[in-house]
Amino acid sequence: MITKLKFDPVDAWQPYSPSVNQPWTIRLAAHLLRRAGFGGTQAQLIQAEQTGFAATIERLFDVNSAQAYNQEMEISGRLVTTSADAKSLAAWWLLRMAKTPCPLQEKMTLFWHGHFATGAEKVNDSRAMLRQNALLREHCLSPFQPMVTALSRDVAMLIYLDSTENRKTRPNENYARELMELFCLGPGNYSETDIKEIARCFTGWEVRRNQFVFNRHQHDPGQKSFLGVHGNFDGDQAIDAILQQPAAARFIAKKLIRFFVFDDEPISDELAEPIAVELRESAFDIALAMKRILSSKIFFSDLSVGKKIKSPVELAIGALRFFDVSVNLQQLGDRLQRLGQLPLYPPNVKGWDGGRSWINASTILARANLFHEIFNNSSNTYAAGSLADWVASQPSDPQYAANWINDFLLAEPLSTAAATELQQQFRRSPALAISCLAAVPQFQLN
Amino acid sequence: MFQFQNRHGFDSVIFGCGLVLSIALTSSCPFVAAKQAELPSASPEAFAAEFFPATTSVYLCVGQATQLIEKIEQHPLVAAIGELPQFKKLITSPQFVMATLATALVEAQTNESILNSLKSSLALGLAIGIDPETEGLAIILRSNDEAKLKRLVGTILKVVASGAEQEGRPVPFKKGTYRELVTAEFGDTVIARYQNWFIVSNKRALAKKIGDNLIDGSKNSLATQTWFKAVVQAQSTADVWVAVDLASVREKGLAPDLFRGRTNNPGAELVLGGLLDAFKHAPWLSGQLNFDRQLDLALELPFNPQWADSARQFFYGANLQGTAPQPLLPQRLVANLVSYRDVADWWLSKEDLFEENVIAQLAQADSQLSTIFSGMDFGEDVLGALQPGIQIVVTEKAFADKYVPDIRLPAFALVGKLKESDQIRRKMKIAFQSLIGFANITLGMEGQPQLDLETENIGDAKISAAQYVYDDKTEAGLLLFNFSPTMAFQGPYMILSSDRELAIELAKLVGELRPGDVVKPTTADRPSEPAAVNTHLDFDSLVLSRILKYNRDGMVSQNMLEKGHGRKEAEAEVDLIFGIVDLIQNGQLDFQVNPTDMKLAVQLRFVNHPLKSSR
Repeated sequence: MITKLKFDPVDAWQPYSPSVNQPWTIRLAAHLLRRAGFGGTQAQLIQAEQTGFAATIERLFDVNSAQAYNQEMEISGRLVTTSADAKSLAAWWLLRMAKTPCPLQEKMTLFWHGHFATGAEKVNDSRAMLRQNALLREHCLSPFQPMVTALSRDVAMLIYLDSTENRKTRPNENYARELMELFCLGPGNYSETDIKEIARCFTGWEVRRNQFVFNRHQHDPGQKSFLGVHGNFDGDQAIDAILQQPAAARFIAKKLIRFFVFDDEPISDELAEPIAVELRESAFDIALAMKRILSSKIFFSDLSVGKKIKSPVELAIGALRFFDVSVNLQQLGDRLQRLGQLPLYPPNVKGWDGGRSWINASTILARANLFHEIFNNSSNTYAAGSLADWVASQPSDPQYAANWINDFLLAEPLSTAAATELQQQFRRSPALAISCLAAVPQFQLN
Repeated sequence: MFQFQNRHGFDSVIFGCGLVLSIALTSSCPFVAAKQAELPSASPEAFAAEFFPATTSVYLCVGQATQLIEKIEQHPLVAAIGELPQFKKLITSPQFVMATLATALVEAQTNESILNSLKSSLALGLAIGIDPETEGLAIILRSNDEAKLKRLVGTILKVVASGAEQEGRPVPFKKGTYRELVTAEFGDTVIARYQNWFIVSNKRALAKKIGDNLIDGSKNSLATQTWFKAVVQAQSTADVWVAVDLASVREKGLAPDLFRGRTNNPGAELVLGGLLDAFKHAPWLSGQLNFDRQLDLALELPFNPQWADSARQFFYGANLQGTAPQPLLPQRLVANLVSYRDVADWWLSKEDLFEENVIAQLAQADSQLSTIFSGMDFGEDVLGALQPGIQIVVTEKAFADKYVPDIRLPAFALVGKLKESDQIRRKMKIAFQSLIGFANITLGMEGQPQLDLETENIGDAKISAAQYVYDDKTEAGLLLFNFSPTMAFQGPYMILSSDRELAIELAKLVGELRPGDVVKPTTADRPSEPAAVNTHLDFDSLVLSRILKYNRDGMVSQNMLEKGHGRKEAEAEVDLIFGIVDLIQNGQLDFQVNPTDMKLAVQLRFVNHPLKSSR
């Protein structure tokens, strides 16, 4: 049962607590796992329901559970970049999303990748892209400031923003502008003078032979004045000062809410403020803010459940995880690019718009075709077997049998008749049933 | 008359015919004709040929089918395949389980194991023919026990019919007779039994012709064709024996690119050029396959020196006398290719060999290469400085503990012999220095480590080797580190290698060559033939396996991306590849051009069954 929540900014971020009115159900567990990751298998969803809400949240944030997996993937990522291009690296990341034991970590990495958008096509150096990807993952659930500091030295980022040279005689304003507009404050919270002054702080920050170097001869050590502070700041100190701005925490809070809670509802300053306060008071600890968001009443309310549209990556990876499908990920990457979202290839410096932009007349058809191609490709395997084997191996708990498509797979339920028909079709021809499911509007919702 | 039958119960057709086809594709026989009266052939392979129509253009016969099945059954390769996890997975698949059940049903009703039934059904041979006139393919089997064959065919049909009935489908075949043949038709596919003969064909017309020939005999069959008689005469008995009527295939316009006598691909021309002459004119092709402790494949094409295109002297040599040079055989050899090719002649004949677009591209390359080679004409002066004959060597590369690249490629080298050494040597060395200089500019622009070129004398060899310069900031694992491009001169030999150590080893081996040696075909069984080959290739699977295993992590990663597998599944698949490679010890290929024929011989040796020394 989804609670109808009155729009109340104070109450919105109060912790959700399972109750008689809103018990912890399989559908809420599915909602949490979809948003905090890419959805789960039937067994994972049932486990989430049975172990309870608090234990599920704890498990989501246990990044140590992925330590061994991450080490393996780092080795394979390096091998991929040794012998192949960034498209293969994108396929490697898709694989990582599909198989990770800590989906929140990959989801957060994807979120920050959209936030600090960097395109592999322009960077043209898959090793630099891999290093940035590792950096985002390392910091994804940690304090924000070290992440910004590290990204300000990141080779891929500096190449992408044309900031590989920054001399004191001609400060390069690109990075300073994006730092405030896209990464930390948002438009309207800084002036052109601030940009010019902050650009001086970053003079001498250069890329040489694909490495970040600080060229002290080109650094402007003079006094700078911006955002109400004065001093002979360098880049790191400029970042400190930017993040001290009240707008910074609010800006990050809104981005998190838009990505994890809902797309289209207007996010007022009042609604974002409790999360912004959480960030300010915890030195921008992202894990704390995320825990607050994912445990909140509003997150489990009808303002959030089913109120987002699945991005192409969420759509595809969700299916790969639920059906345990093994597919050619390089080909999947090509399909996702046609749907508008291939990781490492954002459309521009602002990243993906998300929300309703994912759906138009051509992508809705292409989304259904993607599923048709995946589930009618005889070389794909499902938990290392056939689709029929996979169907046969699924738990047949009568508690879930009657309405499993609605419970496990859909944020907005189908009518009982439609769901029953689809479940029957699933028994006759699973591939056809999945293709049909992929075409229904409810399946596009997250 | 063979009856028509609607297409239904396709699965049962597949099962029924599949069982029969599986018999056919794993077996062999000296056929004895039902009415073999006036047939001239002395070879056992020809006996089944008298039942195929004269228009048959492809004929394959498995002589001693039962023996071949037994060889396969007992072969360590088969046992090893049985141990592979993929095979174990296959035999638990639903399809395999269903086939096993069906087989068990047949065994229960015939009171004999399916393998014994197969052996009996094929005891006197198996032949497959393709007839372009009817567009049909037919398989003929001859059993040593008519009663057993009858029982087996009857039981299979019964199992197929009862399977269809249980599933509520109509019986997918129609029984009938044609003259003295007992038939069953699965749509267009016909099976027929006559005494101890069994026929399967996908075309009724072809099955009918074969049936008529079986009963009446024929004075105009495949066996009476001149081309076929020539093949029979030229070949000896083999486990599997193939004859192809190339003239008829050409006439039908099949595979026109193969028979055009030309390719517009310079690389393909260099490798295959002369073969295209033979394919353009040769009346037939024959092949033999023997399977024992090793696998031997031999292909033969008739050849007439008059067919040789004058622009292809680079391939044949003068008077077809071009022979592969003596190979230098370093340690840890993965593969060695030696071939008679006059690359200068090939390059300079481009106007006669290729079409305008390719000639223009080669002319452009010629001009660029001439710049690199200090203004020397690339064709006349650079390639022209080389004697005909080239060697390509691939070996396992040793790595120091530090700076081992993520992907460990083997070392490789190109070996040639200079016509006049002194002056051209210096020019080649300068060109090599220029190439390293160009590479350093590019590497520097990309922030990669650069190459340091040094020249040294080791014995009589002059070595110019370029090696990457490492420092503490060097990022580990770069693919580039695999190489140390090297040019070496030893006597008249010029060696261009990806690896300094390999170049030095090859230079030392030059001194060990014995004058006048030629590469002899390892499979020559006719001493009267010229004891030299045009091209020879050999490889060592054990060393290859070691290199693959060094790169296991990379292969696993690639498998994960291509198949979306998790690490464990990917590792299992990659290890399966290693398992298969490990079953093979080594192999070789010899290609000979003789005044009357061209011969290609391939040998593959399995592990634990070393063969006689190759030379």
